Amino acid sequence: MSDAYPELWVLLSEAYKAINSDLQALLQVGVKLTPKAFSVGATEMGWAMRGPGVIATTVIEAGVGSASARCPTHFVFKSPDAVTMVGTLMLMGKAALGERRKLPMNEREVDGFREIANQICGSANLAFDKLEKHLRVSQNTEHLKVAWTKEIERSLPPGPMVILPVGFTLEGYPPSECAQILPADGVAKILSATAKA
Amino acid sequence: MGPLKVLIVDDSVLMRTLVRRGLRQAGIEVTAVLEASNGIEALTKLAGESVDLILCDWNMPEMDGPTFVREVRKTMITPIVIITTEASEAKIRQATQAGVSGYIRKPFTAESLRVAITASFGAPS
Repeated sequence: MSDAYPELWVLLSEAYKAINSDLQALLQVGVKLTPKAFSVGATEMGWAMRGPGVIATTVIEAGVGSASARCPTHFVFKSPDAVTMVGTLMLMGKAALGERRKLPMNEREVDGFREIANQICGSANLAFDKLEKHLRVSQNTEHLKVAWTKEIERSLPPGPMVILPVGFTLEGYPPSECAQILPADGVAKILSATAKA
Repeated sequence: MGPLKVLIVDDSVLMRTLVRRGLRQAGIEVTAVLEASNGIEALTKLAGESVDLILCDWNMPEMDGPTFVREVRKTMITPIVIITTEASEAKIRQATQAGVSGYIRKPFTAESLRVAITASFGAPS
């Protein structure tokens, strides 16, 4: 269904290339986020994004002047994957990480994941700059919020959503999945604003 | 550039840890490392003691990096290196106008940290 949003697909594909490159440098291990086709609505996410997770919420700002638009966006990671990324940065051993992956994220881990989310936004913005698109994922602390949840599906925003499932691989761990989520009406607004800019 | 007393200003405990680690890996000699989680806290620390180098994030609650840099520049010439994921030309220009001595884009390496810090003291890297 990526052909349903060809402009968004191009933008986000480039963003994820930049995100991959930067996350690999940050974590110094093989981490890769691979965007898949879009889906619409939480039920299409299926079992993959159920259970505990961490949701980084911010705002996408598009366009200039009176034609500008804003749209919330959410980066959703399964809790064990988020814990592993933060633990790897903290140089936590694999045995200790194995234990932490089973537990709710603590405050320190959520704080650590905020830095990873900040990097994801910054990398995406660099890609948007190179494409010369008036598009920006806000890194302002007033917008970028990170929260752990016991159940991802119950924490997702209501209403029609555009979901970009993203394959997640981290060296030494089974392949997983994360996702970027945007409200469908917001996607239409930012694409319109970007086209006019 | 002798052993340095460094102030790290970042709202993320993890990032402050990574910067400390980066300083060690870069072979930067330090006598002490102070930490602050935002610009206001950092200004309070600077009112009590002087430092040789400030490493500062951009996006922080209470007072962001550029505002903090402008405040410091009212009274101090201490080298300030901003470490941030904000990498657009406009942001770099904004940081330069605020008075930073160096700019490092995250993710940083020990080498990029060493080069930027050395350059901020006006010495060849």
